[in-house]
Amino acid sequence: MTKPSICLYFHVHQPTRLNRHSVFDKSHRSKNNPMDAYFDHNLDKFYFQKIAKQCYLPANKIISELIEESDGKFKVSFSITGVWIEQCKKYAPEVLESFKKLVKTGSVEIVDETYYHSLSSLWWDQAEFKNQVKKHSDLITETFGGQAPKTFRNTELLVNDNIISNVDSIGRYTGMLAEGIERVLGWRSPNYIYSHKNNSVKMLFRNYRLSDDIGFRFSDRGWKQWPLTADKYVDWLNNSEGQTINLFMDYETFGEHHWPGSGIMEFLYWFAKKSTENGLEFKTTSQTVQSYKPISSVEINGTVSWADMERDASAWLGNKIQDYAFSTYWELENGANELGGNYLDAWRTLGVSDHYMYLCLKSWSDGDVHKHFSPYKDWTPYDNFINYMNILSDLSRRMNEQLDKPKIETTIKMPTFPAIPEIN
Amino acid sequence: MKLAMFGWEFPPFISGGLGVHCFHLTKELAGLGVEIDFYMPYTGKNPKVPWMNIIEVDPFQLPDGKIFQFGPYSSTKTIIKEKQSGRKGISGMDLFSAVMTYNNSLAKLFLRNHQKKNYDLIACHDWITVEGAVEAKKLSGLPLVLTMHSTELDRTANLNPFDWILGIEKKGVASATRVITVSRRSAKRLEDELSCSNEKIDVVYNAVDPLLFKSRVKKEEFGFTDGIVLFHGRLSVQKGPEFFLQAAKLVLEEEKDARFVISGKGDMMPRLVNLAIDLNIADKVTFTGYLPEEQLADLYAVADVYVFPSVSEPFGITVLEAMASGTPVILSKTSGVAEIVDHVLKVDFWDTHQMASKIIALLRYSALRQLLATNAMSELTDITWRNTAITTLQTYEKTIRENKK
Repeated sequence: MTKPSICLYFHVHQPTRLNRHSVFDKSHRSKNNPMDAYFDHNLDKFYFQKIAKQCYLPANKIISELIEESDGKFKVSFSITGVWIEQCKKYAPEVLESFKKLVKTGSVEIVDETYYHSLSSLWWDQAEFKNQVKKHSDLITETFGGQAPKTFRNTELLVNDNIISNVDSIGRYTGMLAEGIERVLGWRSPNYIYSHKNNSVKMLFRNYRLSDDIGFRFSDRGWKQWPLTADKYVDWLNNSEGQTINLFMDYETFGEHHWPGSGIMEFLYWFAKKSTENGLEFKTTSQTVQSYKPISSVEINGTVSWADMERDASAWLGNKIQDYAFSTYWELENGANELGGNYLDAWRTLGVSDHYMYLCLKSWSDGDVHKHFSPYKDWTPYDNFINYMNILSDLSRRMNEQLDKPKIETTIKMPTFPAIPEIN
Repeated sequence: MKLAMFGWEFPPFISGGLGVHCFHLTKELAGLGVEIDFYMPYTGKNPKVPWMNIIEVDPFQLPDGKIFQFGPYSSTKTIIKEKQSGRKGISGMDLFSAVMTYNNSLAKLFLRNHQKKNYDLIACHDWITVEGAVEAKKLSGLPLVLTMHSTELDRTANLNPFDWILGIEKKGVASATRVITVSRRSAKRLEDELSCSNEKIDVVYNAVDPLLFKSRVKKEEFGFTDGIVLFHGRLSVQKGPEFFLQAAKLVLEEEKDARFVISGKGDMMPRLVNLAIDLNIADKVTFTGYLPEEQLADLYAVADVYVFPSVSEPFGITVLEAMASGTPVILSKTSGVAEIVDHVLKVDFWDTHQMASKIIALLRYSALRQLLATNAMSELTDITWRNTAITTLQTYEKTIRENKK
């Protein structure tokens, strides 16, 4: 029996944090650029530099060593959001340089997604989704050179038949990432390549057990497998069947979700090292798709994602305030497109999915993952909603002011007609 | 268990949380098999309830021959002010002598009954019953559980508290076998301000009976069309009605179609009316005065927002009442009820901009109102008087057990 290869994929993203925006505080009105009026650049900078130090730089260093020591046999794929790259350029350009170096080795592949890590795939009109995907692949080729990405991952692995068709219709993608849950696969294993019933794009399913062993459980002392050693984990991989083991997780797993003292960095190094020693082969996402024939076909009726216990879209669009905010958001689409520039940027940045995650009330009072990620620890999802809506209504006000202005000073004089004599 | 409970107010003669608490607590305790004699001041109205024995303590006469009428005890401030300003009314010393007379008669009457009935425990509420309860404890050797619903420092918002009352409160928490408070916040204050030992305090939260707040009348029936923002409570510094009016002013700058309703009475009424005039919002503010229960339930139901800006609140039962009425709540962080509810908007009472900003959001976004109302309603399923009684009974049983050792 041939051993399955390993497809290691990391997601790289940071949200743009909102300003605290009161109806009464008019000081933001003096900021002409809506990007400055609505977003807290200082907070972004604080988090970005902190995470760069704890996660991105040390983890990149390990990956670069692994590639070098294995003569390029160690391979890994990343998806990097557009908003992350924007922040990186401003707050820690050395991190972007180190990613560029990794890509240059040829062992690192970039996966496409929406530039804004948005929920645009869930809106009925797909024009914006496609624009954001295009904007992302343009940014990736511009930043890293080479060809446009061949595989696609949607925001938080949000996938359904509709989204698959829309991604497939772009025509460039050979593979797409999805959550490997029973609701989709039934009794079938995630360790195989699948085709989709009416599309040509192939599906890569996340092995959530083995992925979450690292992503969630690694530092959990209540877990009966704790501590997770590289030997033990490689043993599990070695005993797995199938074509590929898809290990998909947030890149912040290393040093941020699990603090460096948990030994997570050493684990990354040694698990990769020992996998190679045990004859396990690493492949990037597109190589994995290319290497194997699909074993069978799937369809995905309801939306699935890798989030929460529910593994659906309910973390972002699961309650009334989320739905309300979402539909209000899209009311501004036409105006944003008409004005373009900073207005379009601000509108799109307000569509970053994290803003909707902060409105999630699921087990919020128990203090769970949503609370952990929200930048304003003392704010409830209701408070976050009020802030988000205040910003949307201010953006709407600004856009209306701009749209009401005559756009072009015309030099053509309207012909004057002779007055029509009044008829008595 | 045979329980002698010393109270002060009882429906329909109530003004605050104490009366509501005693009514529901005794009803549920009786359901749990506790036999209760409830002692209260003479009202002349012969109050009766099916679940326990109400014992009215002898009437007492004032120097002018009139029978002393018990008003809500929380109005001690009013009485003193009236005395100081030379206006008519029952003098402060009359209230105090009335309290002392009540407590004296209480202890004597209790002892007489105890010889026949053989009680297991004495339970009493607030400073106003402390003297009698402490005396009864001493005479009978029974353990005493004192429930502190509020303290003098709460009621006066720390402005000119009565040393005399503070003294009784200190004596009460020192002499009681165990002390119940209505929130962790209140327990902390008892420790810090009344030197109550932490080990003898149990926290038992209040609750609400949602059946009493079933009114679903529409605001059109009241002739209102604007968004209605409600304040309900005693009009005193403690409850923060001034912050409510300051926030109202700010809201009206952004939302013209809002109406602010202030329900309740109290010594601050004239000051609030003047403030509304000074702020130039008098036409947008309605003072309802005191409202009977059913009308209050209607008012809760028609309100779009309930604001509770209390400066210092041991609990805050009206917050649960508004939640039970399906009305979204903006709540001061300095309140005990904030410890047990999540589906409300919490603010600092002094931050009127924040308060106004949240009122505006609730007036504007129906989705926010609906979600808060629905989630608040399900949050209340665990906040029942039954649970209050069960936790209280645990304290009672523990007290009796420990006293036997």
